[in-house]
Amino acid sequence: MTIEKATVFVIRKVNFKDSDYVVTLFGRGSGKFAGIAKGARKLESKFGGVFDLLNMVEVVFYQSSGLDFISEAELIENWEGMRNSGEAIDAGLRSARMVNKLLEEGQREIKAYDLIEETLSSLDESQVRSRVVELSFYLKLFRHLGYQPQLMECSRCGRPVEDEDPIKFSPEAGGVVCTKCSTGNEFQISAGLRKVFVKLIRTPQSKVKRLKVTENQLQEGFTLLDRFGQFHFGQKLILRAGSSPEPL
Amino acid sequence: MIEPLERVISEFKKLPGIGQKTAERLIFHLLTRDSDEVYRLSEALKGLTEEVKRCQVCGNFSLGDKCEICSDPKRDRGKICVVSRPWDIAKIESTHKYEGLYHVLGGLVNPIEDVSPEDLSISELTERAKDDRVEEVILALEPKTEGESTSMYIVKKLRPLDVEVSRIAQGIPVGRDLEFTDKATLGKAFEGRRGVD
Ligand SMILES: [Zn+2]
Ligand SMILES: [Zn+2]
Repeated sequence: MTIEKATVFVIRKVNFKDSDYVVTLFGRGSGKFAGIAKGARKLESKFGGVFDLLNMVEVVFYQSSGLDFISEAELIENWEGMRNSGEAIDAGLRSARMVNKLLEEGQREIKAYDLIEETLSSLDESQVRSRVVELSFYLKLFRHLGYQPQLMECSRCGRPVEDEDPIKFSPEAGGVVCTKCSTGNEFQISAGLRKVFVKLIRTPQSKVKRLKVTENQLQEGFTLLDRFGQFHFGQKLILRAGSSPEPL
Repeated sequence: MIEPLERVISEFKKLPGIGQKTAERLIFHLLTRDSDEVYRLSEALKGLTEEVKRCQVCGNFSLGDKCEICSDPKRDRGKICVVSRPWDIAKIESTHKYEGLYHVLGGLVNPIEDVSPEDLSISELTERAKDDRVEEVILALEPKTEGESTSMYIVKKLRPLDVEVSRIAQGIPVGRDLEFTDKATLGKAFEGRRGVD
């Protein structure tokens, strides 16, 4: 039996039996894994409330048949600032949902881990436009997993696609499509959105909050990544913007 | 295994926390009891679907269209306490610190489990809060991530209405379920509730 220690994010939590939690954790070196925290729902539990969603926690665990068994847990960060804004919490939860959906159990993704850490840190700051941070998170996560939409060259012939407005975009082809290669079935994106995407990809996650993105571009960006994600991952990944609570 | 046994086992296994082994153990236990006892259990289970309804007003468990609390003329109609699940009502009632009405949301907003505000009875709550008699809406949702986000969403929805919104969160340990909070703590949390601005 090997005992391991890891710093992880709590990305899912379900009640198990009368007083346990089964938590899905995502660590830098340990990747995504599920563990059981015995008695964690009880008031007198040694775990306290550390397994709140999105918390950063240091856990000690060992493998047993099936689920890992968590023996100790210590809170490192609970994002007090983020918890003052419904919109920020929601963006954080949706980002965790995406990690849950796209990563297999046991999958290690150091870049994705650093990305979620930077994302939650950004959401923790006050006066941040959570939706911009969230959009950028999706785009960067897709990229780390090898699914970056091609933005500058035609995804069919490889020639540069000029700044015409609108630009044709095909999730199937993997990105923008030039006029010559267009079959007429692509959908259209604004030249402004393409610029925003390029900027989001180039800007470190901790600094994207400073970028100027209009409401329309945000809507367009989420719609585009939704279609792109549905095609490449075969599932609905991005939740409707309307379900997001506004900041107080 | 013979078919009737398999059928019961497969139904038991659908219950939370019950796997093949536990299901088998429970059923072998039942088989050793006398048939009257097993009959009473099956009748009680039948009553669950035939007699227990959800209150049309607040979502609490109920025998009729309206639950005992909603039909009680002594309850304070100026207050609505919002909880995520019906069993939270029993928990709060046990403190004897609250005499108003309730509203059951049916869960908490949680994108990770694909629960959006539209899946909960939030619009029903705002409709109820429009009643002139309602003066205060008390949010008794857990101070954990999903509870915070749900509370903030409701506060936003209620803001245009002429009602005071307060939260009981203070005093309940962060990250915990209401279900596991002790009576005394919950009672204090009720008395010390604070307005949300
Ligand atoms: Zn082309
Ligand atoms: Zn009722």
